[in-house]
Amino acid sequence: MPSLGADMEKGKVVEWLKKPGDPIARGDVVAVVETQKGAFEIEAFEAGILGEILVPVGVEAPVGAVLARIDGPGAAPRPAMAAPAPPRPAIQPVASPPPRPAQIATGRPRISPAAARRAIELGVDTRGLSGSGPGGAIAIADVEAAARKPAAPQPSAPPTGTPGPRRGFDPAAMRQAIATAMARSKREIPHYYLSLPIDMGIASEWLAAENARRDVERRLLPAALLLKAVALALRAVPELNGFWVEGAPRLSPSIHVGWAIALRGGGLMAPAIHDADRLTLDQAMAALRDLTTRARVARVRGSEMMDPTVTVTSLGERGADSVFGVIYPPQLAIVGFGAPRITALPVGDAIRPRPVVQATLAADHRASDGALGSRLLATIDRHLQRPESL
Amino acid sequence: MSDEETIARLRVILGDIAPDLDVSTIDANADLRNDIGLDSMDFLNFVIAAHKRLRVDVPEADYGKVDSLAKFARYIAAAGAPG
Repeated sequence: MPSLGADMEKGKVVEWLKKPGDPIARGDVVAVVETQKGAFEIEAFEAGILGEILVPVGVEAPVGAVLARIDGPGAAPRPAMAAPAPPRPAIQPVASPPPRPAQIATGRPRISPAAARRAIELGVDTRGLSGSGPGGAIAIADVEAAARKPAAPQPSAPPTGTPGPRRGFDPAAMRQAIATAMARSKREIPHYYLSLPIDMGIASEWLAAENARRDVERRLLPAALLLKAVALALRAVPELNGFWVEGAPRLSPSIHVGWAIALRGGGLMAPAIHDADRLTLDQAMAALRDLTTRARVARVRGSEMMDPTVTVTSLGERGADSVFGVIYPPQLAIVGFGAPRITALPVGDAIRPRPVVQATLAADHRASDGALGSRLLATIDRHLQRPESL
Repeated sequence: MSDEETIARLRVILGDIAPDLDVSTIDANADLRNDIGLDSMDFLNFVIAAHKRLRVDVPEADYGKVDSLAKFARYIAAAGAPG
């Protein structure tokens, strides 16, 4: 059972997507685990053949418990899918409550996560599809078969019935998880705050021209520019990228940006976009789209919750002017972007109306000082004045 | 295809990109971003999905003309998109 955040103590297995005997590649999604913050996909950290499943569906296990074994080809069975983060001994399944029958109440058809993604890619409406997967679940093949059919007759009346609740999403539990993390942050982390208005005129014009000649599927949003600018700036100011651990900063060589996504039912999550500084703008945009889409259907991967090294919160086009974030412990900093506002700015000798975004930084004063924080914001600004080189 | 039929199809598409919304009760005249709460990523995903399934191309400069289900349906009718 991997740790999906500093405040997680246990999780419940709600689905196994592989069965004993199935071949597993590193990075395959093998199970879905439910925590306070929602349901997350758990990926295999080893390749091999899935051996014994030690924590069946419906059973809770503490962080560090072995969920299943992956047998290497011809090798002795070894534990797999134990927590990569806290090195607790993960030898035997820890005493778990007696197995209860699996009960996943859901108003929506059962569908594998991969098939759900494929359905979104292909634009297939999964309602009414019959599944050929285990337990009648809709599999990728079913989605692809449906996509090949000539345009299915569309209902001419609005669809009836409300969508089922997002599986594994309990707003009250998420509220509690946010409360715990944020209270800990304000109790332990001496925040300092900086802000810098950034002229987005050049970036906006560049984006509009770029999007005008792109197919709709390849269009960019300002968020992709902001993500990339922050990631590149952290390369220049690495002191703000990492964690505060046992009384000292532990900087991270990789830049995994936790991107805050507000959920319409309330609450938010900030899963990681891995190695954001090494993505092209198109890749950054694709990563943001993918992450937002999956967050809406509670299909964020466990590994994405584990390792953000910094957080970015962007209020989008219609939000407030600025946001001074609360650091997600044990991270060192959170960068915020307000909504763009047309503001009178001096440009050369004249005053011009320009779209301005307030960039803010909240950082841990134990690890860094304002001068360094200022450098980060100034570097973000500089990158946003040269959007073509992002 | 009538506007009513187009709106019904747009509802289905919206339900797929925002499964957390109850699309059957959304007022066709409500502003998708200010009233319904689509963020810019959701809105882009909606435009992309409409492009795939209804073969309508909405340039970024026209986003203001498709910001409710009813306006989107009229836009599609005016564009003469095949159903």
